[in-house]
Amino acid sequence: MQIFSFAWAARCFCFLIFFSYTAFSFASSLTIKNDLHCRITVPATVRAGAAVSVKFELFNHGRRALNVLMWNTPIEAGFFAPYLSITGPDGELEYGGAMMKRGAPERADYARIKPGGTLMKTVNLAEIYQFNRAGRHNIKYVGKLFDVTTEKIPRSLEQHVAIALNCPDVAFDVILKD
Amino acid sequence: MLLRAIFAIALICASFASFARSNSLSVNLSLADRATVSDQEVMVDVVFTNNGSTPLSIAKWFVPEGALEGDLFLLSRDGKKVPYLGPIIKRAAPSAQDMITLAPGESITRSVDIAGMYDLSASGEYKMQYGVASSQLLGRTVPRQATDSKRFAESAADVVMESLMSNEVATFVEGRSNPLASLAADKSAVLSAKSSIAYSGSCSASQKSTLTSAVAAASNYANTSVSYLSGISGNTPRFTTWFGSATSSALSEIRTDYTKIKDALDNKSLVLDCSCKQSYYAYVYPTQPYKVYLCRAFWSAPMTGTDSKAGTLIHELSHFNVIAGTQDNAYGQSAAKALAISNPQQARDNADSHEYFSENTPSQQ
Repeated sequence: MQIFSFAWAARCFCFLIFFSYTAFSFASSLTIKNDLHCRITVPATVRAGAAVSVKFELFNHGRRALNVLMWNTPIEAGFFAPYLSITGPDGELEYGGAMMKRGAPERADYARIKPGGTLMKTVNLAEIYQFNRAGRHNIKYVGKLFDVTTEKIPRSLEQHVAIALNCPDVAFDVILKD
Repeated sequence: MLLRAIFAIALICASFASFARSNSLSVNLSLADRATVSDQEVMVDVVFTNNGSTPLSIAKWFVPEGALEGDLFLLSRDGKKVPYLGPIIKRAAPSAQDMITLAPGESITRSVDIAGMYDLSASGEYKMQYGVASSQLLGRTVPRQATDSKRFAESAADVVMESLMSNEVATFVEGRSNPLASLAADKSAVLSAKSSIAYSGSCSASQKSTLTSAVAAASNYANTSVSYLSGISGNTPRFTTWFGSATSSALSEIRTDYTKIKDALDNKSLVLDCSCKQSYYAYVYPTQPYKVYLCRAFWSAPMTGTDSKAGTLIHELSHFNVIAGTQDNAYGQSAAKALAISNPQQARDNADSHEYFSENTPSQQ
């Protein structure tokens, strides 16, 4: 029978490999998503005009070390994307930071988080947002992580596996100087 | 009389003490090239070393990085002082964050392009030396006696000029048009009478000429994009690849974006900044039109085509809130194509999608 020829066997084999690889990468990105946890911490009240120190933490609750591309997080030095949406009494605040066109990332663009480890950074949001209205302000993480992997880094843009990051929203009050 | 004598002695001692401290900080200057032609940068390496046994702090504006923001060098040609043309920034007294601290034995090296900031219009042998004198040069890291610290801070003896000089180096420099004086000429060199290009962040002569070509190529991209969009009324391979289905609202949104990009290139004052040393292409502050910061990947990109210099300018201009206020939802051609299928609205709001539509590489109808 023609159907049991070597060529067909090879095709089936290739398909199986491709299918299992795709399924595996999909499952792998799902586990990574479950392993990564995020927390934003803000002071309860901040004076208008003062620094707004926000702590950003990324936890690896999984069993494998993760290489995280730091774009879209406060972990990288400088503000190069509006990955936070901040809403005050007058609606969404204007982002005053930069927007960066990236090329292929370098190794230094990634941070490694060991199993059980944390990446942490505190940044001053007053550098890029104007908090000059008194009242409740809400911070929502609206970015995504461009690439998170257990594999060798850096990886080209085509190889990136983006991951949505769910950071619980936080709120704080801006008070005017008395 | 006795008091005055004591005061004078105190003053001498104070200057001596500070001289000793600044003496343990040394500066060495070296040249990257023995001779430079007219479109070449004149790069010097400045090495600051703490030769002492205690940490030393120096106010960071005396340690040049990227663009010069003060007259930190002594240049002469044929025994005549060469004028400094760059900015001079009025500083408050340095605070702790303004200080760079060097541990004993530590060195820091900085590379500076002299060409942009000094008048090198005449060819000849230029002698160069790093040389500064200021009362705010060194931080007060050496703790003073607690008892006289307050009095010391208020006395005139505290205002001591400290100086820091390097060795002298010499190089032959081919004369070049003075970039700051020719700023006005650069402005007229551009495409249309109303638009202009200014440079900041120490662009070298060759970078400026590259940028002039890149703006011209970006302008060509904007013009052809506008005319292409006015000639279509529905789906075309080129439109749908990058922006999804060409509904009338999608078409009108994208037409508006390119009309504004074209308007910026035709009529607005662009400021192009060369100070970024990061590995990326370029960045802007969307709230600050029309200043674009070019980084390392920009300089190695082709002039036109995918991820080119001209396309990068289209990308960056689209970010400005007064133009299209685009986001970076997806980077790279394959992610941008995928976005046009999965989320056309985000694709129409994506800076790279605007860039790739303009570059149209490989070409589509």
